[in-house]
Amino acid sequence: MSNSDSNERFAATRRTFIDASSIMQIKNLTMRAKSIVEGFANGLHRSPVHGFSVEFSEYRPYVEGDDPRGIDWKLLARTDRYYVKQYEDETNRRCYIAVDQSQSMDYGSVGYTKAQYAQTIAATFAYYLTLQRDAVGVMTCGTASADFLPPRHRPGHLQQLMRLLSLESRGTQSELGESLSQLAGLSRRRGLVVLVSDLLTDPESLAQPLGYLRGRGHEVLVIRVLDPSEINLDFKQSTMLVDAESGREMYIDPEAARRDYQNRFRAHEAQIIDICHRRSARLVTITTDEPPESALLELINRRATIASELSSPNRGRRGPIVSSGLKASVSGG
Amino acid sequence: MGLLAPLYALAALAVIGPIIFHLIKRQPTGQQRFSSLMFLSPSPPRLTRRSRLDNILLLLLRALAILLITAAFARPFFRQESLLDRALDGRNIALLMDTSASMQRADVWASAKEQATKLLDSLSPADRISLYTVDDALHPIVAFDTERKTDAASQQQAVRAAVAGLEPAWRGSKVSEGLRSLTDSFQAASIAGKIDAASQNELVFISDLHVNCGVESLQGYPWPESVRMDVRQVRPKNPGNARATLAAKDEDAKEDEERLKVRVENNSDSVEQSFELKWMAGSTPVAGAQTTLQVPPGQVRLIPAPTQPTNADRLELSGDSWAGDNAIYVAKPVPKRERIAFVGEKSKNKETDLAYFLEQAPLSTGLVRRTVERVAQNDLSAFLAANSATDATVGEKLQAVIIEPPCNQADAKALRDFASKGGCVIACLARPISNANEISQSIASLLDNEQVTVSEAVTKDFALLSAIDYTSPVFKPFADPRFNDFSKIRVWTHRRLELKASADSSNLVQTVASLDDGSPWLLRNPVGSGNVWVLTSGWQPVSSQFGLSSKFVPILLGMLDPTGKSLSSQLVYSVGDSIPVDDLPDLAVSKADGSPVEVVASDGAIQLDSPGLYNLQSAGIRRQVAVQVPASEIQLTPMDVDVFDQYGVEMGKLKSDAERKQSARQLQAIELEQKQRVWQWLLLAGLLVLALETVLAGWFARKSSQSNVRIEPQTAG
Repeated sequence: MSNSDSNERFAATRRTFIDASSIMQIKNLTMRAKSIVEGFANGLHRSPVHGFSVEFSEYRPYVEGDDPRGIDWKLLARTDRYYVKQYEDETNRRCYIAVDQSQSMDYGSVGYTKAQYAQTIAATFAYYLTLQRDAVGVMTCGTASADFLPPRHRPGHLQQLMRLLSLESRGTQSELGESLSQLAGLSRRRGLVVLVSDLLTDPESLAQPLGYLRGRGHEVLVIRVLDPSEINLDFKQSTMLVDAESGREMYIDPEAARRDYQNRFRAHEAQIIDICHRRSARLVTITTDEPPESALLELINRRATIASELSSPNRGRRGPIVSSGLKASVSGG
Repeated sequence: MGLLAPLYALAALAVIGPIIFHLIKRQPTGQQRFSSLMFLSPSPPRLTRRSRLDNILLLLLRALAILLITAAFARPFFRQESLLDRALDGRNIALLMDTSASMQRADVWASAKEQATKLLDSLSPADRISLYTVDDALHPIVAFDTERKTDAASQQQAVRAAVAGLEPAWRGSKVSEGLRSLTDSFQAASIAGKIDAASQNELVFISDLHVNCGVESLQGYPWPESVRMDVRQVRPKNPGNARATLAAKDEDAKEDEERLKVRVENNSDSVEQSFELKWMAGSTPVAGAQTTLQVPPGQVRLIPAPTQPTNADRLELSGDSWAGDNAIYVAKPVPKRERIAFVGEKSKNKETDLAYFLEQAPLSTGLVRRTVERVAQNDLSAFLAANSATDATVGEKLQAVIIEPPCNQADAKALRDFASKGGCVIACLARPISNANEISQSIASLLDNEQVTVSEAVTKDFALLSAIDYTSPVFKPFADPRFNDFSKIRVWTHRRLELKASADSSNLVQTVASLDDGSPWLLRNPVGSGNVWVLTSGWQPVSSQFGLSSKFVPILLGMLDPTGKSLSSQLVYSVGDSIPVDDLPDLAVSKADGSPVEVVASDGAIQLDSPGLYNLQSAGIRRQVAVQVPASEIQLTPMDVDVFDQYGVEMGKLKSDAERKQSARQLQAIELEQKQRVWQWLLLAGLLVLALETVLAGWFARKSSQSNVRIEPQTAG
């Protein structure tokens, strides 16, 4: 399955998703995530994800030095040959979802905030991956004291995840890189790291933590959540803007400031793309008025990519992972 | 167009409010949170005059609403000059000026005259004014012209001239008397229909109104509602006053102690408390006869006066704020000498001698020295002729002749003449009758009554006084029940005297006292300015116990001086007091320096109008009296004008001509405004404009919110 085929298919399905504002009307985070995942599944009966985990299983002949616990004794009884279920562990992947809870996420012009949207995406991922029998962990980023829930797959773990995700934004953006570094230290076994953030911080501060994560062998998916008004600064009237994190006030005439803002915003975005490219992290930018299923689709796409890479002759190589995004601004490879 | 409440028009300045609000609306009214300012740099808005006042229509509507409502509150009306310019009616104004002694303070009187002039200047030409002064009585200066013989302007001119020449007197204050008299005259004129009963009568009272000015009797006075009083109180620049008076001699003091005591009283509002007391001779102080004293405000000191030098005539206090009442004039008593002639021979037996008891009786007083001399019966005519002219230089006067009838007709006639000139003739029937006809004729001649019969009365043991006329000056001092016990006077022998009523009504014989057997004991026959007395018993012990009684001297003095003039020993009077004098036609009054003084005399008394030492000379007798400033003018602490309100006096400030015109115009403006009621239409228009503004503002707000709907950002991909 090629990237271009999947993009076309996803784009086609995205148009059938429920409107984001309708989804966000659901107050309960778990219910919201469930609605997204089930609605998504109902529309994708012939999804390539179907049977994904079954195909993932593989036997190989036992060689000396392998752990005898990996030998499939039933197959030995049937065939009288020693086979080892080598990739069974790989199929139940670990996924670390890092959710930005800084004050800058507590902004929204479409009826809900970026933080609520990011929580929805994270909850959707957690719910979906739990259904897939994957171990899901969550870490809150951008706060002075990051909360970390290690990835597990057990009854009641999803509820803990949802409770942690429901916390309000309370940190500052400058602590995002530090939180990612902590995550790198806490996640000893490799897996998939999904960072949901607006990335409104110094891009260079993210370079090192992303390098740590990659160094740990994690696959990194960065989902950048933006409010539509942040992209174009589409205010109509002059107003006194207050920085959500620092409280700094600034009087802005949008007509005069828009062009300069857009230039700086694009330069910042280009820096982030560059860093993600250098650290082999996939960057997806999504605005809060888009359906959250888009992000889920990207996650599935990402897992499919990983599966194909694993099944390819070059599997196991720790090279840069090529990113493909929903938008033109997203770095592609 | 006029405004009834023009101050409300100032609220039109509130129209600045909407303009300011429209200007500052362009400034950000609130703050908006934004995720991050890292891509932003400050960009001040472009402020141009045109862009700031964009909602001109709303601004105009709001300003118009404010102006309309403001105009409604200002109560506008359309002028009608014919109604507004009416002529004012004239008022009846009485100007009452206090001219009591306390107004003698120079700055107080100047202020009072200034107030009066100011009042006259503020009158309208149609106001009829009269001028009165009050001290201890009301004095019309320019009386209220009820007949309207002169026009109002002439009356005002007359009052103005009178005020200019007015000077305060030295009399005391009886403000309530003056006010009552004046309001009564207003009421009398109103009842008589001489002034319009409905018109307001104004009374302007200019006074210093001190606490002793005598307003208390207004308390029960029904003040007429048609008279309104405007009190203009004038106050001195230097408040307070101190006053010295001679203290009464202590009863326990020794007779020879001649040193005077002085009572010095300082008002509570005084500033000064150090004073000097000195004897003055003329205008110069007597050296060595002075002392200093400290009297704090509100306190009284009683000190012995410095020893009076022989040439000093007054004691003077100095150091207080008003010197007008500081002199204490000390009059030297001039004793009067009177002679009492007893006609008859001296008896060897004292118990039977009438003259003996006369000589023993203390008939002299402090002011009258009386001596008794005997005159032989035969020398009586010559004696009376010799004493008809009184020697004024000696001052000795034959006051009384006491005779035991009988006497010859010539003597009786001479005695009656003597009595008619003010003398006193006492005929005493002291002995049993031996020749009744002769005695009867003598008494008849003395009483000028031909039908007199005298006989010896027959008494069992004694007779007592029973019917006594206590209205008679002889017995008036005994009218009190404590003193009217005459049972100790037992009359052993007396004569019965019968006389018929005289046909001449001018020649009355009064029975002053009778005995219990019905016969008269004491008869009085007024003759001219004197009296003839007939006593039907003697006072010697063989005849009665009268001579031994304690009532002998008072009764005898009553007969000698029925008018009581000689008993008077008063030397000090206040200005305005009635000073009794003996002989009004011959009275000459002069000051201590000899300058003559014109006096007003009435009812045997005179009144003096300024303080000082005066010499009164009448009928050859000269005496000295001191006239002081009235005691009511000592305590000069100002009184609160609100006291008049408490007494029910209609108080109100007299409006000047300009104020009256303004007030009248205001009243008429109110009337016009209430007829026209423009404010209702203005208020209605204001509310309509407000409603229109509300609708338009809502429409603009909806339009603005629709145009401010966020434009969805274009998404790519």
